[in-house]
Amino acid sequence: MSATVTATPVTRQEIVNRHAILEAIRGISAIEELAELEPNHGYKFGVDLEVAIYGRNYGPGKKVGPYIRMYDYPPGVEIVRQGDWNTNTFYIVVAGAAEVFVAGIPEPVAIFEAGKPFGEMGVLAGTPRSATVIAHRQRGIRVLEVQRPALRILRKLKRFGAALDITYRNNSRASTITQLQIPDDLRKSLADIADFQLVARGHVLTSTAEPIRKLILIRDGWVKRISQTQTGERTDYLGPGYILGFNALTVREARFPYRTVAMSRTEILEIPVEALYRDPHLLERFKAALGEAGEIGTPLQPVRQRTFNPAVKAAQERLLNKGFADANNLLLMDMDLCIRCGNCSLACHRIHGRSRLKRTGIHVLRPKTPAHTKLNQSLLMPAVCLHCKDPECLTGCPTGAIARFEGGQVDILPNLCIGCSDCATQCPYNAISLIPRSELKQSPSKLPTGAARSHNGKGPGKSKETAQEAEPFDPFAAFGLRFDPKPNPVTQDEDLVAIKCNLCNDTPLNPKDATGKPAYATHKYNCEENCPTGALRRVKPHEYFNEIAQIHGPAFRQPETLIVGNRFGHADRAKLLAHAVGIGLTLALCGGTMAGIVQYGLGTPLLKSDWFNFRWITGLVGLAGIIIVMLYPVRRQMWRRRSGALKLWMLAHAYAGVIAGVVLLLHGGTSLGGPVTAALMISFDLVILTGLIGILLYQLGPPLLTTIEGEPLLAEDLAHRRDELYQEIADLTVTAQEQAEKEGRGAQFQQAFLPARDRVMRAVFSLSFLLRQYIRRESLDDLLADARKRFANAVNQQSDATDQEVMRQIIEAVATIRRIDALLYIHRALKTWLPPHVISTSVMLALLVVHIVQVVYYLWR
Amino acid sequence: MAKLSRFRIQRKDFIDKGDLTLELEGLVIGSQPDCDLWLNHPTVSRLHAGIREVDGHWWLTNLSSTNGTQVNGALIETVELQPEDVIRIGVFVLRPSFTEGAIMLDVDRQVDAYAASECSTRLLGDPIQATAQGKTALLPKLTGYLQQRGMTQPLRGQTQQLADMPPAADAPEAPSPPPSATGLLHAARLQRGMTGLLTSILSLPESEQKRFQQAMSVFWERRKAAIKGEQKLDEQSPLEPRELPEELKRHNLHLGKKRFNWTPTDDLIRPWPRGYLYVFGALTTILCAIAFFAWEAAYVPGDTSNPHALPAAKLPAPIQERLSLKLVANAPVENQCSACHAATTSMQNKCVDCHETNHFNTTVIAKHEEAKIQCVDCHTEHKGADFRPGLVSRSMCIDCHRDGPTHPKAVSLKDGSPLREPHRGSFGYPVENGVWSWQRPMNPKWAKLFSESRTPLDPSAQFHLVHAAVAPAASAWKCSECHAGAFAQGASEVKVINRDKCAVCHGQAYVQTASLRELDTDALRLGIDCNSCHQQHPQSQTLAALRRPAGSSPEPVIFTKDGVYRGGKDWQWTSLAAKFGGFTIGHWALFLSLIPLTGIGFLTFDTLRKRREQAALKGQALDLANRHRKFTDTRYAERWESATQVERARVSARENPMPHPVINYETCIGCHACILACPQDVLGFDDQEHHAIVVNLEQCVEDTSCQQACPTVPQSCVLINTRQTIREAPKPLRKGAADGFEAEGVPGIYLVGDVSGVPLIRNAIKEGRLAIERMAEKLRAEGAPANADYYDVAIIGIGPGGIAAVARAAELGLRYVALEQGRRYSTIAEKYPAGKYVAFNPFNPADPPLGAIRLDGPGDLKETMLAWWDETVEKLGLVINEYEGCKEIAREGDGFLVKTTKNPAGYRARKVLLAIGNAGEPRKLGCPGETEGRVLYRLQDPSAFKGKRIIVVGAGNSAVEAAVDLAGQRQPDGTVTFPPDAEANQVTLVIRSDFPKDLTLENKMWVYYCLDAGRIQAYFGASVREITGTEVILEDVRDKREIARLPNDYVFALIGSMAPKEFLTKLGIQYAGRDGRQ
Repeated sequence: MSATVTATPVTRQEIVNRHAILEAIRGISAIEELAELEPNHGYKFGVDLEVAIYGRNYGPGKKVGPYIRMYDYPPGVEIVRQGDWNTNTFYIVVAGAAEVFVAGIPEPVAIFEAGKPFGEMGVLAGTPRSATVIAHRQRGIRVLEVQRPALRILRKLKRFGAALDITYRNNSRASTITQLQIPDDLRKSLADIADFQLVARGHVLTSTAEPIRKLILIRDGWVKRISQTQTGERTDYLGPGYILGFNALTVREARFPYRTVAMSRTEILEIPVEALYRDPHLLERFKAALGEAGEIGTPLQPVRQRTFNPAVKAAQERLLNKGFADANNLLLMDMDLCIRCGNCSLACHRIHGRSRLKRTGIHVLRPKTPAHTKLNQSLLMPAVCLHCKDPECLTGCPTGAIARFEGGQVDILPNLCIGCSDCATQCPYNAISLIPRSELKQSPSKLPTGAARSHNGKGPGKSKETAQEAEPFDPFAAFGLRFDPKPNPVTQDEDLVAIKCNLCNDTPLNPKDATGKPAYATHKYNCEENCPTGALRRVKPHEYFNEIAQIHGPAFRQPETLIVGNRFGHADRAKLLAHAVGIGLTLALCGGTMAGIVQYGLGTPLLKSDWFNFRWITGLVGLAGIIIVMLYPVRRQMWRRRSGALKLWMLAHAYAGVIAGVVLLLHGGTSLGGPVTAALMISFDLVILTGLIGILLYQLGPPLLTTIEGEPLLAEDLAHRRDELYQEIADLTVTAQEQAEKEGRGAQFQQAFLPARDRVMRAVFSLSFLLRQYIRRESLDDLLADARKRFANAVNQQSDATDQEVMRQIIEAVATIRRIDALLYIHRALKTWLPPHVISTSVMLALLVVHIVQVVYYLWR
Repeated sequence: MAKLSRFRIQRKDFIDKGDLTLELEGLVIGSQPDCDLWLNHPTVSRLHAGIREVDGHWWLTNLSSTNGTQVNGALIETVELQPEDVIRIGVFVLRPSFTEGAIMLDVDRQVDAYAASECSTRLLGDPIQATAQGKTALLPKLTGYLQQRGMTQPLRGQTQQLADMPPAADAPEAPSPPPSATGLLHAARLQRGMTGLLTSILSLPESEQKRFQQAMSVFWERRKAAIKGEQKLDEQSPLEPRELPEELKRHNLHLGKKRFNWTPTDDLIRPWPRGYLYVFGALTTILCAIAFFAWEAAYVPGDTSNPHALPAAKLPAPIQERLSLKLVANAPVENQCSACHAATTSMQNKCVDCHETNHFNTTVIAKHEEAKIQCVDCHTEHKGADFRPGLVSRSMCIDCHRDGPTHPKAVSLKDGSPLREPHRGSFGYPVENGVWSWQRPMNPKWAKLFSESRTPLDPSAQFHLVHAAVAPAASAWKCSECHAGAFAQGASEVKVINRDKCAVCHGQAYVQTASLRELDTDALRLGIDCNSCHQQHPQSQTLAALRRPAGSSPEPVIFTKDGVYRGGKDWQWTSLAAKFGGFTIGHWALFLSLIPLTGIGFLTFDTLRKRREQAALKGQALDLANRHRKFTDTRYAERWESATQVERARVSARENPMPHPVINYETCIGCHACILACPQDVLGFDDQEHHAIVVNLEQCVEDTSCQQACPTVPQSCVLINTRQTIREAPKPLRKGAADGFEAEGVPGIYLVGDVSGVPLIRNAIKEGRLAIERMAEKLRAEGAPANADYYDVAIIGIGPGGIAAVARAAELGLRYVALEQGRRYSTIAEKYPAGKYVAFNPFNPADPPLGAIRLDGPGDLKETMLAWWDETVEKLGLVINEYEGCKEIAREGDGFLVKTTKNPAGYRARKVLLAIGNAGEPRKLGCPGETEGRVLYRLQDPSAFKGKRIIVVGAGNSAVEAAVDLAGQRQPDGTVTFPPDAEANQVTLVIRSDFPKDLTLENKMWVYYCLDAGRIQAYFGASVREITGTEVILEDVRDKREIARLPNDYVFALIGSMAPKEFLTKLGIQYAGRDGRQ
């Protein structure tokens, strides 16, 4: 050891000798079992050992491991730094020692000798490093650097597993107690008696009438409390910071008056009541310190009456069950505002290469404020990473490619990823998908060699190929009049790499300066920036959902959040301001123009000039308006720069459009002018008209959709489901017919069933049945029930039970088809107004230029 | 010593009929053979569950993370066993019962083949719902199936239900398990799914057990099955598609890992193509450019003036009369620029062309003529609807007729102050020819003032009041300001009136003060301008007579394109309101009404289209039904009969809901090949029916390896309804069992055993026997051989198939010669690990006994089996020519000549039976110089190589072992002892990519030990390009770049072997895929 030190290398040196690593493992009692031989069976953990030390090759580019490497650190060299997020590895001291420093204390707080693991808490809990560790300043150190996936292997080892468990719980206990709002000395005595536990979902924490032996402090996770009252069963939900069983401190033999069940993986701190009673002084002080917090957690009385608002409760349950509350940084879409334009997906696609945002996912209804009694806000959590507090994907990764980074965001390191899709399987939200490595939008230096050779579809080689295929010439496509082709799905299964949302880190949206610090003070997300209506937001769940914030208990100082997230209230202040400015400007400019024209007339020369009159004023104002309006489509194509949220541009577009519209119509006066001017005016009118239709649709469409769609779905999915239902009707009919023929009822079937079916279909496929869905806006279940009732005759006419059942199913299928139609029309309407708007705009712009030239020419002449 | 508990196990399943009593600390259940209760089935985890007694209570713990353990239909982790409980582990059902100090476990196997293979919950829906809808007949099967399915995916809401269930009021609370037991069992959970055995954990010291609790297990728990499956994403709306879109299906992206591959959505299509903006803009620009040359009028900024665009009838009657016009020359002008702006004629002439009557003299006054004032100077064209001749003329007149020659045209006027004369006299004073002509103020405000006044005022009084008090600009005027003449001449004598006084209000050009804005407007409203008095183009030349006739309207007449607006206050508003943006309100209403009309039209159209589509539905459905029928076989259909009508109808009419294997039970030989091949445990084995079955339909990932692995020919017995291309393993074509497996197209040669691609010892034995029997029949039919020294049959290759053939031939009394290039059944004897259990499974009791070769019972150790075979050889006195390899087979007359290594002359045989297996020959490097003799394909004695430079090509176990053996002496602890440097070989490994995953750990340790020690050098990603006289040239696998030239003595090519395809093809045997395609 000392021999290597004399060479004084400034950086660590890797010891590549695998046998030396094996010997080192044999020398560390905690993990020696890994290299243990079983008589007649070879190595006890053969495969694990192989992966850990040698690595295992599962195919080209799919090498897993080695997880354990050995390094020599020269004296004084830093191994881990306090506050670092890079928590994908931990260390075990082989020889030498490590000194542990904590910020603010000049002397080492601990010295780790051989056999001691360190840094594993960061790996387990996904928190930043809690201390700085350096190689001993005299002795240096030789460590095993263990990567996260090895934890899966090592915890099979009896001793290491136990040690890890104990460390984890001790450290968690310490950090829980630190979080408590109690005096410091009380913390110490509490640490002596308390015990940290981690319970799984569905675990019953307390049962009704069970004696209170332990106070249960919820540290993280969610607990459902069910209590019996005179009026029946009452349920509420408790979050971190609540203490269960606090009244045991006042009543000695108290029993739990309720039943509590963990709703997710829940971390709790158990404080034995007996131990508190043994020390009356401690008991009193504890009661005093946590009095207020404890009282709230224990009694049955609601904290605030509205906690028992059924709508809020329903929302709470869904938010907790669906995992919304477990997110660190949650992507939410308010479906009443969402115009289904898909710009968020496209924005993601543009900045990442392959979109990581799919516009379907988990949907909840919630009241807009805790005082509301209706579930009236329709929220969608799209299938995109929510950077869970407890990421499943992380534990599954065999190479440790997924890790937490700055701020706690979870990301995948493409150079470590082998594309095994384990993380995608693990993720409960389908937020991870796999793409070919060659399509990664990454700087080539970050990719492993050999993978950087990209087969970009747009490369020159490809276009040559397509030319050779000699496709029939499509004039529309040649002039760019066809819709862009959809990107191809990923079909290969070799050399894939997993991708997921990384909160637009390291993208042109959030560039870093030369020192590696973010260049901008605020963090931007491309999807959020590019939502034209502000329907999409990234939020901190416990701040956005006040019903969840409400169930955070008072025992803790504040709920923990790891990650940067935008602080959003429900009111979109930027939008409100933009509206105010827009309305003000519209009124001022339009009113001013009208007043001016009334006053002076359109053609009256002003300011002692020969020509400057209100024609010119209105024309120039209108032109300015059009220029502002035209900035929107330009901004909409900008995915990389910080160009302001699109929602504001959208509002500017709409208001400028309205202003320009009014002013230019006044400009025209009562005359369409000559042919060119008339064409300009007409095209302008069309732009205004289509724009107004757009505004109207955007205002009416989404709320109408949310009331009748139930779960927000993509239009393509709806269309697909419609095809399926058509198929189903066909299948049902044919097989019922076959069955009838087999049973000798063929003729009867022809006479009774088919006409009845066709009658039903004719009735359902009528315009009135379609329109009534917009007018009544009933839920699908109600619609189906109504359809069943309405066509009960058609069912009753069938004599055979099978036929009746088939008929019932056909009725449901056709009614569902009609509901899909109703939804699809809105979806389509929200999109189809755009092409005419764009086309008339392009015509208008061309004519506008001509008009300006013409006017200037005549003036000059 | 821990307390031992007593377990009694009764096996009612097929595998093991014996009852068993065990005394153990805990009972370990799993599919690993060394488990206490061995449940050998793919649905059982290697270490699946454990049972242990704590203080007289029996606790069951689940140890399987993938498959799960159920008690009474619910997934459990740890539960106390009660009598009447039903434990389900994979396909096994365990029923515990308790006697004093012992637990009795009835082990049975339940496979509901129908439910498992053909139903899916997706189709059947929720069982509770199903009941509600009257599908009661289906429910029992369904429940059974769902329970089974629950192994991987619990019923939705089940766990929640359990958690939510309030404790029954009267029932006593379930006693919580004693802490030691929980600790213990949680400790056990820590190890679940691992290779370590439960027993080792059960002996943890008590103190450790207590601390050893659940935290870590919870931390590592796989929540996906519990949460995802149950709640987060599993709720499917009836509007959501059940199947993936065609596009994705085409790419096989619907199941398995591929389901996570990236797929696009329509969101990624821009809502409008960018070409819209460019093309339509460009198109408009082009049109404008064309118009610039072809249609100049298009560029006229406004309309031509209204009279020219108007039919005369539209003009107000007084104007028509006054102008004596019948037609305003609309037609001749036609809005064409060239009508006026001609290159050769002056514009004046153009006007005069039409307007040549007296009424339309070019100018009315000589001075105007002198000043070259033309028609268009007053009658400005192109002004559009708001062209007002009055305004124009006023400014025109005032341009010249003012004080001072400001206007360029005024220069030519001699006097320079031309207006004085004409306006002397009564200008500004409302006395015409001595008669008071002014009646009332035109301004309504003032008119109202007077009408409301109490004392009626005569017009003169009103006039003076207006000018002295009301009109803002004039309100301070004194009498003398107008009546400034000699007062003696009388009050009516206006002496000198400065015309500016009047023009302050009544003439725009004289507007000078700031407040005149209002006045100007008033003037406009009043319509007072020069033309009010001075009508141009009169018949008479006398100005005096030109005064507007009294009573004629002084209001302005506004011409618009389609009408005449008369006077009117707020004319602009009226007209703008009538034609906002150039369109009338009617037009706008039409535009707006088009939107809902289009919408409703579209909806109506679509409704009609839907009705038309109905007719097509039926035809489509029939097609589908027919297509589907091909996929069903009779037994499959029979099982369907038990399903309810509706569900059957729905399922069978459609193509299968998702890819899944379908097994042809008739052809299945029960070889387990598909079961072993399946990576997802979709297939299981039905021990009662002796064939494979589908047990986990949903888990199918369309991997197709089952179909690839299936050895049955010509068609695989397991089919996946997949769109993937299934790799066809080449197999020699041969006839069926009825023809004794004779090779297709090569009569007289028979293929049995592995060489035909069909594995299984049992199968080879069966085939060998059958082939000989058929052959014997044929030989009998053919009669005696022409040549007496002909053998009846030459049996080449003595493995299981060969030995069975030999035995049968001996039994039937055929003349045979049995050839084996090594020792008899050497493959099994040497390559199978010692003590390997050879399963004869499945044993079908219906099969006839197999003669001399024993093949009954479920199976036995390999050694026992070989002993049986040897016994047969001895008993029947079979003659086997060992170590005699076959070199060539040639057709000779009716029979064959088989040349061997020992008998170059060859044996003559009427038939040849090939049972040569598929081990084949070592694969060659295929590089230049391979024939030099330095290349070896097998390392027999490492000690023969000392101090040599050796290259080993390959990365498999044999290559690595050879390399390590050449480098040193392997030690059991993973190290290698190296010989002294002088004797050491210089070993280089050449590896195409990397070590494969099936390289054993020991070999890996040894080879890395050597690599770390520098005793072996390895080239990864390399291959041999050429072997020259003394060197070997290596190249990069990918870019074919030369990477090294190594001096070399020997090359070991240990890169596997090739199937005996070449040998067979030479005999004329054809190879084909399994469905007969070449």
